[in-house]
Amino acid sequence: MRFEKSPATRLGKGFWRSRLARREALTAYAFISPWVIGFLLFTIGPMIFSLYISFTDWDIMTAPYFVGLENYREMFSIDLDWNAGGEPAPEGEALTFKDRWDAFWQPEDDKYWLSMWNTLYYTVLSVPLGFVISLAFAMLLNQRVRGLSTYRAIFTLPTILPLVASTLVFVWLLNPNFGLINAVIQGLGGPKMRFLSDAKLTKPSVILITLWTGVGNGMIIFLAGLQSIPEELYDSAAMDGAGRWARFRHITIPMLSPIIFFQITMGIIGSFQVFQQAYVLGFAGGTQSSLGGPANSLLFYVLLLYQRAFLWLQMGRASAMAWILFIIVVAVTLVQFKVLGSRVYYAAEG
Amino acid sequence: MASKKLSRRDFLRLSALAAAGAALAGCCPTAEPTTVEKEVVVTQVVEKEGEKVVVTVMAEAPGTEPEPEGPVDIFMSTWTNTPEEFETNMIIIDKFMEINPDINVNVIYSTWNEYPAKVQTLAAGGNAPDVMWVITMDVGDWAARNFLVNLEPYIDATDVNLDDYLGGGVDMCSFDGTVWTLPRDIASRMLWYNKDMFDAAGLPYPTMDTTLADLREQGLELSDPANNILMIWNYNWELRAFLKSSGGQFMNEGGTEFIMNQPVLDTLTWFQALQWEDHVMPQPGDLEGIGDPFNNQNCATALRGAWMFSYYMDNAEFPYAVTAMPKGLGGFRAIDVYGLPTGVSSASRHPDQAWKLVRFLTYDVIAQTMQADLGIAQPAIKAQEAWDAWFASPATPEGAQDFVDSYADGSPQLPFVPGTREAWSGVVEVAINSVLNNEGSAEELIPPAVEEANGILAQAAETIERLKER
Repeated sequence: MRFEKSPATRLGKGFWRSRLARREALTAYAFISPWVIGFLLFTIGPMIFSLYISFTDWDIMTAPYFVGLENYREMFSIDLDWNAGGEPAPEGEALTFKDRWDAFWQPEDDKYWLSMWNTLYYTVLSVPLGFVISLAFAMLLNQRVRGLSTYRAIFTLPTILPLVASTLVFVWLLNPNFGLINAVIQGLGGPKMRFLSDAKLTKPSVILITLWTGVGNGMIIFLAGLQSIPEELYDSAAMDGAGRWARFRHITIPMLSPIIFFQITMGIIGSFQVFQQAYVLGFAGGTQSSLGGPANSLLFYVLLLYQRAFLWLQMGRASAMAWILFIIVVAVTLVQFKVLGSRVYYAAEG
Repeated sequence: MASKKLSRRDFLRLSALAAAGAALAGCCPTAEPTTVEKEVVVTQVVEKEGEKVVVTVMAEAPGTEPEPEGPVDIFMSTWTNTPEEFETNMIIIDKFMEINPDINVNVIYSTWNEYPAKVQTLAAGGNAPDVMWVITMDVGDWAARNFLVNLEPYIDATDVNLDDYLGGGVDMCSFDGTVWTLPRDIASRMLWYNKDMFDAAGLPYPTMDTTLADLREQGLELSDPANNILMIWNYNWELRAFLKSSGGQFMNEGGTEFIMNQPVLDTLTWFQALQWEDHVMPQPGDLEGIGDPFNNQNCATALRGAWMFSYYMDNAEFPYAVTAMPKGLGGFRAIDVYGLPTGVSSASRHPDQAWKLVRFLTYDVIAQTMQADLGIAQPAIKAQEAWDAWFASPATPEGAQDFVDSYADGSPQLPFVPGTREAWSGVVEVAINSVLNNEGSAEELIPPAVEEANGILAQAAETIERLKER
């Protein structure tokens, strides 16, 4: 992507010497200053403070106590037992992969790594699924059919509902005894599914809730992108004998690539911060121990951060977690820019 | 004279300075705890008629600030889960303000789940409430971290006699031999039963002598899992008591270490079977999201406290009664004493006024009688007047006397020490829930959790030691 030089830059240093230019610049700074001051005070300031706190033992109630890198050390201290794989199995039993892994991988802060695993699982499944379903719905709603605006409104409705309310509705829908989803599954001869109490099903359930509430948003953005693709491109491709798939692959995807890049980038950043659904589902269980779901299967990164900061009086450790998350998100975003950025086609560039 | 223009560099410098100022302001530690060192002047008059405590004049308690002119605003943090509960509590607060027109009480409330986060965030912002309800599990942590005022100088200076509280109440409010809070109410769970469901199954109602094993046997007759009709609802919420009444040892005496011996593991296995083999208790998630299964008549019995009196009076559309907690697998009864520890924040700017409110709520017969009469809590003190009001309240169900008679079996839940919240709700309870969720046996899942939880308790103890050294 290329940026054009502004008139002021083109004019060179001489421009800045004029009184008019300085006045203009000052006016511009005055206009942007509310945002800049707000950003410095309410974003950068707290970030610097949290960086300092991450090097302390701070329980909120007493003064922070400097502990250096201890909070970071605890997170990353892992005892790898290289000989664990060779341990003999108890008599009459076979060692499972899980047994071997558990013996090999012994982190000091196993909750941290569990939360990391839960978050990665969620990210790897929810982002691509959200992307594919949003695009599919956008393409469906980009057709010329009757009542299109009604369909669009229906698909968009979940996005305007508060996530907490949607999640509570899903607690009902997913109930093993009374829920509609289980009724359908059992009506088709399937088993009773414990979506919210079986540790193997909780994360897919949260992904389902996320998709239901988030797909509409992505769909609107894709729809806007689809409608901005000139019809002539499709017409000329069709005249040249291109089929539907060829048109999709060679016209739709390249033309949508800036939006795809945006959606994936924002989707990954958002998925690393998943919190609300797990929080609501956890408290629906009635106890604080259920906050992380059955067997901590919903203990996502930010949820653990919240527990440490506000329930367990460990603001220092929570701040260290926040900074690690920040570094991960920045790193993943940079990798995305490196890998995907060059493949994005900006029509304006010609 | 030419006016100096603000350069871009200067502008950025100024902005950075402003941000640094804000950051520094944010870095300020919370207000230093006030100390209670002033000489004590006691001016109260107290009458005692047997168990009845009648307080006519409030004592002047020790404090750090001269009496301000005009009404003093103090803040009190509470939790509530319904608007009705909040309004009922406000009736008692209004009474306090009527008696003490020089004190204006502002109530801050949140849900129970979010309460610790709310109070701690207020404290971090330098706005700690003057008076705080404290979750029992947090008394030790908050006391060890000097977040609470030591109430003993106030107690010594006034009419408060700790022997007037029901057994277990003051222990629950203390840490390390010091009284940091006082109980607004002392409560425990009782066995609620739906008479219609017992009648329909042709079963006798539970009594003081009913055991867990009896309820299981009756449950096999009464329950109809296919139609979501079950005998037992939430007994797992009271597992600690049942682990005790199985003869098991859950923690050591000082609460500094989890034990979880074999009888404890056996009891967990028994509870696992209640759900997955006997089908007399809902499996996890079965009744989630549909409200109160006892009130919905899905479950014939439930373990709930006096705090539910007015709720069931207003909502239950069936005849019900209560009796004492069932006896455990060891053949005896154990009751975990709950309650509502109420304390003064060490950051309070008006500790004397805050203490007046704490004393009123936790010890004054007027407040104690009102809360009993309104059906929101049972009294914390032995005053007959308050207990008469509790029994006379229309919300108090049939059989409440059984519950009171069983109180001799009550003991504090645990001597909660710093780190208990993380060790219990973050580790041990998660493992217990996994056993109940049939994800493995108690023998597999509990020992590793105990080891991890004990590590957390040890680490918390080290932190507290470091805090003391600092």
